[in-house]
Amino acid sequence: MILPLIVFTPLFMAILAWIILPHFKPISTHILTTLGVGFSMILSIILFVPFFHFVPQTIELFPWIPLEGYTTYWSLKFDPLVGVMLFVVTTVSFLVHVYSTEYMSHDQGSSRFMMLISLFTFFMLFLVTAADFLQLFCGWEGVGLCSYLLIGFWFHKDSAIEAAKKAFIVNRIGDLGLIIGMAVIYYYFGTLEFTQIFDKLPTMINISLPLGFSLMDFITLMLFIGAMGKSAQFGLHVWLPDAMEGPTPVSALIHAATMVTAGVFLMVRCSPLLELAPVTKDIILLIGSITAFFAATIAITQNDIKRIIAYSTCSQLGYMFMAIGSGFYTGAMFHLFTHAFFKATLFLGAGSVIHAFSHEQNIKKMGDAFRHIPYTYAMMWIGSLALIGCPPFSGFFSKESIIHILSHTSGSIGTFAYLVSLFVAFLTAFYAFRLIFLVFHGKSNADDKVVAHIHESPSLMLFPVIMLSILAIFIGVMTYRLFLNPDVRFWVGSHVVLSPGVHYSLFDPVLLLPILGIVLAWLIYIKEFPINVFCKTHLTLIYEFLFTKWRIDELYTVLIINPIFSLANILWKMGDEKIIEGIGPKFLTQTTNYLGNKIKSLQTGYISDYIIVIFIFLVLLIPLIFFGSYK
Amino acid sequence: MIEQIVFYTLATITVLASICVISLNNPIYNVLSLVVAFFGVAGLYFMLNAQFLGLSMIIIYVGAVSVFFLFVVMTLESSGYKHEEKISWKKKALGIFLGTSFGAEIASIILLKINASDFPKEGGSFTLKDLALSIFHDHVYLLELMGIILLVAMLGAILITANKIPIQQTLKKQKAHQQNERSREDSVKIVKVEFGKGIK
Amino acid sequence: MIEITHFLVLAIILFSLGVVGVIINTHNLIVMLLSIELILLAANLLFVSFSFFTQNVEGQMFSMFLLAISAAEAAIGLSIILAYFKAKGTISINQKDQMKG
Repeated sequence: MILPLIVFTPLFMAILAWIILPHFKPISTHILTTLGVGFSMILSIILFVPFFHFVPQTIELFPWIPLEGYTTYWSLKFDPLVGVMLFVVTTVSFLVHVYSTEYMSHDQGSSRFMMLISLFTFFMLFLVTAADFLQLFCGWEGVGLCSYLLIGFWFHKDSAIEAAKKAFIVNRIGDLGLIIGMAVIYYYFGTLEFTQIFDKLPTMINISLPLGFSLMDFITLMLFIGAMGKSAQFGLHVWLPDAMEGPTPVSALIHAATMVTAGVFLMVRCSPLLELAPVTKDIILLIGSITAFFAATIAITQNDIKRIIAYSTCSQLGYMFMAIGSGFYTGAMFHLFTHAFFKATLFLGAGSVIHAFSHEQNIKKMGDAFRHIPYTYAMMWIGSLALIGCPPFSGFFSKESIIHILSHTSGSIGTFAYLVSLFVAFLTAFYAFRLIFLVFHGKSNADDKVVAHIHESPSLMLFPVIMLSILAIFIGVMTYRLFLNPDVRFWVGSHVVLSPGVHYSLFDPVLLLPILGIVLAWLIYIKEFPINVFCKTHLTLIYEFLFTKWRIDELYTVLIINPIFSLANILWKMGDEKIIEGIGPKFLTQTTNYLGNKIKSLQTGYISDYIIVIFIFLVLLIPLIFFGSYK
Repeated sequence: MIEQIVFYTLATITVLASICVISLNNPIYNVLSLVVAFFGVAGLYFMLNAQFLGLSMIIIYVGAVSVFFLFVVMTLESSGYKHEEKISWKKKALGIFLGTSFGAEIASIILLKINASDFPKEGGSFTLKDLALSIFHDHVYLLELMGIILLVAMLGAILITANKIPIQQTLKKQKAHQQNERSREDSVKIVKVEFGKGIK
Repeated sequence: MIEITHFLVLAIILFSLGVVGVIINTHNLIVMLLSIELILLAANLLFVSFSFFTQNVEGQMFSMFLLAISAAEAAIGLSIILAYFKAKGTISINQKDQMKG
């Protein structure tokens, strides 16, 4: 009973808010939705905390599509994996709700905003509690829809609309892969329900498809394409930085903590399939490492505070996929878990910074702010330290474990991924602290007006950030045994493939890399060593390449968008206007008109002409009647 | 033999007179030709053993209706009617073509489908008494109906012609120049309507 | 012996002549009316012929009624012609736009 309550309370509250929205003050919807998600959060904590006692279960609500031999149900599944996700989603969502009530309070559409993030929460919960692929797909599309609506929340801004459309369309490309994967699964397995699929796995190992694919490789590759779209992996990542056009709480909730991790969740959910697909695992490892690397390199050159964090998210998602590619599913899940909290901390902190600097997002126009906004400053430090993997913070446990596992991964791709993970750890530290130094230290580059106006956020905005930063500090040390130690038997009943335990060491030489990054950032941006100027002037090509985001957008414009546009243009001009309309409506109307003009002259207005017509037809009809077949 | 001579003579007279009716250009000649045609048909009626009908036809048509026609024609001519238009030869050809083809069709139907041997050899021989019984006894309601029709026709004719008001004023027809000339002030009146009161 | 077909063909000839008259004489309503009289005359002749050749007196009876009908028709038609002439100054119906929709 507790599970449906968790899932459906946000939906109920969203609908209620939607109904009362025109009749009450915005504050009522704020309270309503926040309380609803808070209720869900309490219930999911109740479910999540007694780890060792819960029983994996599936609640079938009612049948959806009855097919011959297989009926899909709307159902709610619960197991440890779902428990983790429920905890992450409801907690972050609740804190973001609280944050939004204040952050959005001056916005006209704040009620709509609250309703939408509540609806998003429902769809995300619906996604993670899915017991089969079909329902998962419903939630998958639902979060995509909410993401679209929330990115385009400020729909009077053209850039926001563009970004929303971009996110929606790019996600559809990934969804195509997911649909194909589902279809193939249904074709071969005759079911879409996770447990049944996993039960039938042993009989399916040796099936091979045309063109030399093995069945498992193909299915998982298609599912991975779906996950790529949702989780912004290299190639389908282009929407994520642009998605920062949405309000900051949205970025924190959807584009850092929950929705973008749905791909990781899907991969972990399908880990028994992935274990039988070595080729796909290699591809995932490769794509994950490329994503981590390219996003980190872009992040070091960007100036928009939210974009930096967005690329950082992209990079961290790359880490998660590297973990999946090396078979370390629990590690990926653990990194997802910790990342949700510290990245939400960073985003909400960034929101506070933007708020303090009067909606300025360019970090080159900030600086010297740590005295004015000390709490936010502290929170950003905590978030950044967690992000770079500083030992007591949560990021340390998850990231170190992934790097540790990668160092044992065999094969050339494994080695490549290991090196990339090390380099990205260094870059992460660099861009994280570049952000902090530029925003909070150095000399102020902002207008005097803005500087005079810098102020700490209200307590309603600080509270969620503080809560998140507390979680970002402690959640790792509290739960790493749970996630990564097979002896704890946390994952029982969730079909997640386990890997051997990880041992942490504070004297790992790997830890030097983030310190190196911090020192470099300190040298450049505090001590003002002109290294960055040197890079800009002497390595212009590389700098431009990074600054323009590897020119992926331009590449897509040339390769995909322009050909499609010209094709559409041809079809429009030739196909539609000339052929379809020429033969269809235009031709018909013109012919009718023409014939009408011709026949019009038959109606002369002379009675005698009408008499003549009557007699003509009489003369024609008489033989027909008397000599024809109508006797 | 004599019968055939009489029939063909009368038929020729009738047809020629009918042609004159439709082709002559002076209405008076048309009417007079019609009188001749009626005479011919009346003669045929005598052949068909319908002497009363033939005579009454002559009396009614030649004596009354034709005079009526002539009267109207003369009234028109006295009030300034001039015969102007010529019939275009196209219309003439079309009319003749249609008429002949129509006649030929019906005639061929008659000749092909109606067999004279299906009818009794002897023609009917009726007395006037038979006709009177048929009209005034067997079909007396039809007779009453006919009386009503004649009454209505008489009333109609009187109403249409004997109207005191000049006919131009009673005619309902479009007057385009008046429609075009009327101004906005004449046609539209702007009223401030109070809520719930309506327009008085 | 004169057979029924002779009379029928004669009636049809009269009828066709009436039709031709109606078609071609649109410039003169009186002649149109006369043509209609011809048509009625043809019908009358048919009635009487069939009455004779089927030995049935009712044909003559109908012929009688037909006379009355044609008289009424002539009266109404002529009065309409008079009214038309008063309104239009002509008895030609070759005028445009009167029946144009």
